[in-house]
Amino acid sequence: MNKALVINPEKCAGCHSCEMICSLIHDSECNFVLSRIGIMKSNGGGTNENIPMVCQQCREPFCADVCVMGAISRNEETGALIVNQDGCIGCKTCVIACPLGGILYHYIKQCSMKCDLCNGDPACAKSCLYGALEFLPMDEWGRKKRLKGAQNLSKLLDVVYK
Amino acid sequence: MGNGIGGFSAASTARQIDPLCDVTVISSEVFPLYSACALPDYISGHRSREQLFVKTNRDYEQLRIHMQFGQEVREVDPVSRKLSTARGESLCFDRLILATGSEAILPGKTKKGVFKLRTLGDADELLKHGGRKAVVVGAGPIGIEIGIALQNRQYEVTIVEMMDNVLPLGLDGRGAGRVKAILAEHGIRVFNGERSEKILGNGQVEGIVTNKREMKCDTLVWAIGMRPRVDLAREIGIKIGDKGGIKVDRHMETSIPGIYACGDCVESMDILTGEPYPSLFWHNANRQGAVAARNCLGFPVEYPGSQSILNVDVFGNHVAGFGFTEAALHRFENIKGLGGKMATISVFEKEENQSYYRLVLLDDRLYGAQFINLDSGAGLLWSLMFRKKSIKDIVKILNDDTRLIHNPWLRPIKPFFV
Repeated sequence: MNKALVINPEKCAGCHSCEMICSLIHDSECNFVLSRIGIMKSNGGGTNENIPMVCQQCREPFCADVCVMGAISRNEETGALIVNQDGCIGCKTCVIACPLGGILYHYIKQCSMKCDLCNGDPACAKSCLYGALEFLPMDEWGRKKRLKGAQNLSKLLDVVYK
Repeated sequence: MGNGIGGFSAASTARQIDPLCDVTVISSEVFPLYSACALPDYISGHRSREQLFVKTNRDYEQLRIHMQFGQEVREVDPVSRKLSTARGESLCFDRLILATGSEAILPGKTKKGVFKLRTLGDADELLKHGGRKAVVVGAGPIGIEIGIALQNRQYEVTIVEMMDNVLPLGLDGRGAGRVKAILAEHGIRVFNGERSEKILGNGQVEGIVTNKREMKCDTLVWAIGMRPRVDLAREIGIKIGDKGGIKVDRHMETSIPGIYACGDCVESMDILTGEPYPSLFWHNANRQGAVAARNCLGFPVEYPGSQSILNVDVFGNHVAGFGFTEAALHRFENIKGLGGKMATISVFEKEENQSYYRLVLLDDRLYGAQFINLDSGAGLLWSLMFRKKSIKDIVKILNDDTRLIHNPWLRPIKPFFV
């Protein structure tokens, strides 16, 4: 795995275009219920009104751990965790086990669905107009993350010393 | 020894760590790894027989695991490190991993029409039997799933449960009442608090007598629980714990050095209380197998503890739970032993038209949760529970928007506490 889907919640405008393109590509239908990515709206308060939530492709994934059919496996090429939809029995244990809500239940196919990074070329990142979703190489991501951490720290120091 | 998920996980992990070691799997079953959890789907006809298999023989060949399926182990000599099989072959080993699994509890003599559901063979037998009227004894997750599956095959189904609730290990009174109502709505009768006393019929089952009534049936399924298979371990001289499983330490090593155990046959400690109990869950067996294999090959890893999770689909209603129920916490003889001092149990509960949830807290730590038709946030609570986070700290974050911005993943559980 040398690339990762990076989320910048402060840039998200909440336009839901990533949800639309995601369901369109995977299920030929624009339907946010069938989307692997979801924009969560906070109910007032806080400056970040919209936060995109998507599978983080964990290194030690709970979902693959609890799957009684061994249907969740990693694609070594892209680093994405893939649900084998023929193997899935739709028991939803993975939905319960995931702390981030990264894996969802597909009510039409009656099985679990999750982000598969579109075989290494995520459509959501390409469709995002605001740069809230980016598909970046790991080293570049690390640099950006460090910069963002520094910005957060300076904000926090402002709060502390105000 | 054993080709369930515990045995397979141990074998494949050993192969992953050491590409040169010699791995042999001995199993009394003739099939490659299949999922016993999907058997109710097979009975109801939603899945074909092929779809139950998780691995094929080819996968074992690719991992270079020697297969000895359909073999029973007769004798193990832990001193000279040799074992002999029923066919008379003898094998040498450096390290032995016991993954003998569990067996269904089956009281009394078997008659025609009396079934259990543990292996694929059991399911095949049940499918061959054509009946119309079934009684399922036990209303745990297995009992309920079999009941629903049999109803799909046009059986008339009755469930008898000795305890006062359905799903007694997963739900407390109110949630269990809802599940019972859903079952009754779809035509499955449930009798709680009845002990089955006698099976009627000679040779073929004709009915069952409980302490309150007599029922006619032509099919009887026992689903009253599983028990670890430890006969062989006892013969070898391995210590067996009070709860009936093989005693292991944190490295999954038994009382005899060089022999490890994992899966349903051991009693491992619970992650919350640290007390040993046999945890009969797929994911625990999977992790235990990996831990046992690593320790075998000399890479010390500790097993963090077992986690329980309940998950049943009752006619489209998603029933989930994890940790302990309030009743189970009350049953602990010595509650102060858990936290070191006296602790109090508190409950957050909310019932709406479609959904229901209940969180059980001991002092300020989450010890269990139950959900009906509610998915969001459950996983987060699960991970918070076994990380032993204090609920007070989490509520502090949830009530403070500035902190919530930096922990956006906590948002889904805000409705539970506010």
